[in-house]
Amino acid sequence: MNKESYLAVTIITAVILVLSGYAVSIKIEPGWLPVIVVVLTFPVFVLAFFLWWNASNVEGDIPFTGY
Amino acid sequence: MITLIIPAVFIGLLFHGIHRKVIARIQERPGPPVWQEILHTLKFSFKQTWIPKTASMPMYVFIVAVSIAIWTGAFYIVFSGGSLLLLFAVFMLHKITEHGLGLSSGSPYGKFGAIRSVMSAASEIPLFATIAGIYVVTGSLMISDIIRYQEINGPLLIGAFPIAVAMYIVILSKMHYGPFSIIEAKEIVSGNRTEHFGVWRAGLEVAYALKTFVLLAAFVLLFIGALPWYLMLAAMLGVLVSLSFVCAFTPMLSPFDAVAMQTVITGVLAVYIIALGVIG
Repeated sequence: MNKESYLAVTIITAVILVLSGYAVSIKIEPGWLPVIVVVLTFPVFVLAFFLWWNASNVEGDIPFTGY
Repeated sequence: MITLIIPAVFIGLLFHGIHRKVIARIQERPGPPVWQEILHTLKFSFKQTWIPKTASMPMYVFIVAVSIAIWTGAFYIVFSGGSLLLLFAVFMLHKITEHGLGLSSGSPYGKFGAIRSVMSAASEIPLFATIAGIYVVTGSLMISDIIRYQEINGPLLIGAFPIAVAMYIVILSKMHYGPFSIIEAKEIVSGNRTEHFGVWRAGLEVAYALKTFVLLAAFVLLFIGALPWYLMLAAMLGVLVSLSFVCAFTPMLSPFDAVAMQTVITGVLAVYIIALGVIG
């Protein structure tokens, strides 16, 4: 995935997290649903966010891919 | 909830930094600044990231996400006054993620860490004692009920001190640089985390910061009770500093000694719980 894709995933998951947080605060029924959404979305948000700012803006050399 | 998780991650990372600082000062070293672990996480997130050829690619990435997810769930369980059994389930899942982390990379150091993680499953046994003891004393496994019990009968830290010791040992076994931290001993580099670098390591740091925050918060809620947020943080810090003292003064045990020690402690607590149940 490129930098734009990571940014898109970060924004989408951030929006879902904010909506889930709001759903928890207004005590939406069933109560477990927004919690499950947060539990599943937060890791994706963290990793996508880190991968977004880690990704380079320019075309680079072929990276070293390990031994 | 999400507005609390992100500060919890930063506080957890700050706690890790304080932990390192306290250990260093006890050992007469200057030590890193207390915000070092926050910088570490940022640093890892900027580092070049890829997946080693020897790694099992889906598991290598997925296990990091699972680590964050389970402690996010644990955060909710603790702060919504949920069941202690669910917290115990998270502990079991954490053990699986520790194992998976080591095996997924294909590195021999990681595999050694994973094997030690299985061996040190005994670190989870004192949690049995905590759960059984709390049930015997309070008659409930819901954290909200246990908090209410303490409002009426006083803190369990005084009323059921050996059970608090059991939980303390569980948290100690999960602390970095502790006597039971055999899965990340220096002779196996970083143990099960050896081959997780860059963004993957930053993700793990987030998961472990949440873990530290949740465990300290659970200890305070279960054995002192509900407090205003600033006193809660102060109590968590107090518990953390005491853990840092233990970590600074005790050498890392060998894997077999670590297991033996935790089993003996659990045995003693089992006798206490049985006596508590029988004598009342």
